[in-house]
Amino acid sequence: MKKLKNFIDTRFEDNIKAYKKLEEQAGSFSNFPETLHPDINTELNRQGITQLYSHQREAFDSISQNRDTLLVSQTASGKTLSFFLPILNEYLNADAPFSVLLLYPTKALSRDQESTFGGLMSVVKKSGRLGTFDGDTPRDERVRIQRTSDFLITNPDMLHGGILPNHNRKWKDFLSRLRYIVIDEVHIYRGSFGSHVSNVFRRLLRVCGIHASHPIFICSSATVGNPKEHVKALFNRGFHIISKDGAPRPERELYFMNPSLAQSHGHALYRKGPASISIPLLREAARRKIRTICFCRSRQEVERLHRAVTDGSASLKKQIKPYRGGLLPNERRKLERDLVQGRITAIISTNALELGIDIGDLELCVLSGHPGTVASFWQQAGRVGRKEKPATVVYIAKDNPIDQYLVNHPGFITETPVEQALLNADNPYIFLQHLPCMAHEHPLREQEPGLVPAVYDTALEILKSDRTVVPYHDTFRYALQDYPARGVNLRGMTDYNIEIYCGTEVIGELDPIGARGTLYKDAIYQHLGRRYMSMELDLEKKLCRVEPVDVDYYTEAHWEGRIEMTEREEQKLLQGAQLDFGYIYYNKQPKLYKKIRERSYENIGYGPITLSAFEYDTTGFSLLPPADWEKAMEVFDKRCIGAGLHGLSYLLRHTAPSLCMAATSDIATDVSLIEVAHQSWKSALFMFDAVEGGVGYAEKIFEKINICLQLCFEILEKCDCSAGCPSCVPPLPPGIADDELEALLIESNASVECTRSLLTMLREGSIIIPQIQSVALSANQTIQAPEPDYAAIKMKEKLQRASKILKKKRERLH
Amino acid sequence: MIDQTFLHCPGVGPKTENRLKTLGFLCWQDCLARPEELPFSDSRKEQFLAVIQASLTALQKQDLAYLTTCLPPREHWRILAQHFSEATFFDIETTGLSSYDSFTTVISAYHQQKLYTFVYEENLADFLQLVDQSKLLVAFNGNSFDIPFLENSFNIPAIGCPHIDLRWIFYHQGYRGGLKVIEKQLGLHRPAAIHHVDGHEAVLLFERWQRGDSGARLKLIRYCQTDVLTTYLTAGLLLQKMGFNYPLPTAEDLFALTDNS
Repeated sequence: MKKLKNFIDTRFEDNIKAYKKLEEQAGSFSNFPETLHPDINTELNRQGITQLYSHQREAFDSISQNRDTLLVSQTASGKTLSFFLPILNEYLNADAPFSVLLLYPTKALSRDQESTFGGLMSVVKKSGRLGTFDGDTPRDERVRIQRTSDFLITNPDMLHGGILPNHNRKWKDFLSRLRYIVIDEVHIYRGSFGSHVSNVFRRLLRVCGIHASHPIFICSSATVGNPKEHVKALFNRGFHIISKDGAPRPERELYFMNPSLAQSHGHALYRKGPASISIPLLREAARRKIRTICFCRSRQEVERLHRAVTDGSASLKKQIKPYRGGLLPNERRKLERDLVQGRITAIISTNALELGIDIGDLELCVLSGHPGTVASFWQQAGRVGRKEKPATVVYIAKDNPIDQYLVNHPGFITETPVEQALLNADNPYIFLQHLPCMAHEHPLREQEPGLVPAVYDTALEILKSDRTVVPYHDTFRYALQDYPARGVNLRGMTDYNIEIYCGTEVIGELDPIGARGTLYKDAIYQHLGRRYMSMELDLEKKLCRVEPVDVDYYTEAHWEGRIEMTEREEQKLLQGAQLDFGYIYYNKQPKLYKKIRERSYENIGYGPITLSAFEYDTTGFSLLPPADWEKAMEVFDKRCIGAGLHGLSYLLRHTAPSLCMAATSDIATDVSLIEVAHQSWKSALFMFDAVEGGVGYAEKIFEKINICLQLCFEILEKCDCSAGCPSCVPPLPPGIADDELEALLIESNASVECTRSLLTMLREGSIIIPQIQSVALSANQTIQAPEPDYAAIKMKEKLQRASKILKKKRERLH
Repeated sequence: MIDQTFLHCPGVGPKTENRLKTLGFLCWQDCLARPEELPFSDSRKEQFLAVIQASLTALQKQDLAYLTTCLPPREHWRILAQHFSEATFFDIETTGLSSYDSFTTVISAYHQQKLYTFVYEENLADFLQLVDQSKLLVAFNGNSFDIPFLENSFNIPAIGCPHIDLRWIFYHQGYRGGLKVIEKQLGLHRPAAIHHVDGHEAVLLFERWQRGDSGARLKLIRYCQTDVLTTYLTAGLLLQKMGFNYPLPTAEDLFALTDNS
């Protein structure tokens, strides 16, 4: 390990931006509780456990006192024991068997658990009273589980669509004996998904009330900034919170690395990708048999990095494996076993591994790009250094603003309080999807415990007025013949998947939005190290046909969107800028794709995409720049207005998510036209939730716009580039279709300057005229430009013309 | 009648019942009047009397919900006999056997000598209002099919009225084979127009009706109405055979109540 450190210190000397040593932490232990059942005592001793960590003991005591308990931990050490010791103890001592609901966020994870409980649950497993109930459970198994299970493993989607609608017939017995609800990884339930899950729990507790059971909640969470408020918002209960982790931790070293800047003919300055560091690092670690995990941001990145690292080396191919959520449970388990037993030394993973079981002690953790939240950063970094050996964490920044900010301000990770988890169960769009489900489960009463009367009463009125519910005695019964739960997808705007066929075999599946963006005709799709080209994407039939290909490029789609504020709720003025918050209608369509050569990231061509648009209503705000600023810009060069707006749009898109613990895909920004007066349009910046109905993300930014703008300003100021780069504001931000604007931006520092000017206006109210200079490219070029692709150029021209026509048409319609 | 059985008490089977009858305990009041003579141990006697008392209270309050649940199905004929004239007979037609993917098309009910019909997309939910006015629901195979189907269809936790199943009452009196078979055994003949219609045909009639055939709609309704009327008649005829002399209208008079257009 020391040799690897030398390697890092010498090879990447220029890239190390920061280094921090995390001190070792001594363990805090406690004895077994006296009331522990002898069978459990025996089993623990058999496993070599003679003491409990302090937090495990605290959990035992809290749960034994019937308190709703939340375990917050960076590393989830000994979580299983913390839950199950008190539950099993009571189970073995009880006169009549009670039931326990075990909830895991995904089907894959819940499938893992049954085998993991292993030794401890053998006392229960012998009686056959443990079952996993999810979409994969075979029909006859389901009947057995419904009749005889005491311990039920499932996930929120199954609880919502499978168990709750059948509470009165098939699950009555289980629910009437329900004593504990165990929820793992509770920090995941935030944003729109969290709001949905919160409503599922409202329905569950209502149904428990109907069957006269009063379960206790036991939850585990990764670190969040507001654990108490989060679980209160999720479950509407007060919890006893255990946050002190009693497990010992060895010393850990943390490196913050920034890949070097490079230049390429015809393009502005760019920063190399994290692969420039991770590839040599992973290879060196493998050579020294250092057990490693590398976290990437996407499935495709995992595949690409794996291919690049192992390219040409049979031994590396044996040692390093990719790991991601799409794998089957037995595939995942085999990989985990191989890693634990040393048959493989490194795993490259998406954040799927952030969740899930212990995979032994790893020594090196590489983070390729910021996982999005400080909490996930620590969860991933926490994968190493669990036993006594010291460990190393290497974080490599990507070329986007927030990563670049992080690598220049490591304190953001080590000192800033962790982000808050937000959700809103009363989000009207989400609540209104669950109320019919509630009615279907049991007629709605005048007052429903656990529901806020102000919201419930109004929602009930809506259902009454469209005759979704009709009066029945002194309640309201669900009057339709369908299954409302079927039409509600907890995880997003679509409730089905597109299946990917190669020949007759289904090799994967993807949601319809993701499919539009990655499986259009001629797209290159990567799966388990192999490349395929999409022959056809049929959204109606919900399938995509692919065929294996051998090419050296990948594809990226470019979307075009249209935005409109349909109703304004609130307005505020910021140094003369008008910010309007309200309901937004959005329509987006992928129009063309780029072919990008692997490794060099050269753009080698374009192609069209013909797919139907994807549209939805949401909430968000628009920002019209101050009139004074615009006047000043118009006098100087009116293209600066557009440049500033696009630049700010890019910056906001990359900074906002971390401020509200949303994923980057949950918030969107764009620049579009607003009709300010009859026949008169102006450009404005829009920010809105990329989730149907809106969940409050853009709303939060609207409320805290000053803080957000401050963060954007700091990113811009502290960036080391001279004329803009993808890390702060690129010289040519994506999404610009205007040739005149492009001419201003290309090969100049206009993007940064105009953005800075707009930011200064919004923050201080002072007008700065942008100092625009053209950027001369240095003579030493490190990359050879490819021969101009005339076919591609012609295609691009045609598409630009088409885009202009569409834009004019849009303006006409407005 | 209802108070002349002891079979609903825990631990009491036909043998014990016979023994009680031989000893002169012919009804619940007898037991309560002379508890000391009951041939049970003290603890068993206490249990027995508690149930008897509860049953008597239920009987006095006309708590049919209690009585239909605690009396075994074999003795339900007693409830039918006691409340024949107040009972609401009903039958439903659907688009399939499973309430998960089928729905109700027609409900017909015979209540207080009047025939009521409830039709899909017209007034189907009004049946629930009739149920509110009913004291006792009677259907053939209702417990297995009609009642659960309606509960699922209307999304209500329970039908909200005590109910007994004619199929099992017949079964325990020796009549088997389905309603149409039993009709024949009791000498009942259906009107010619719907003579051959069965459950399967009912689904086809509905589909034809939905495609615009109003004749099919009429036929389906008449079929359902006939079903409920024969349910009523066969129940009455069974009771007559058991010795109860309830006046019954003739089949012709009853079938005349069905829809003509």
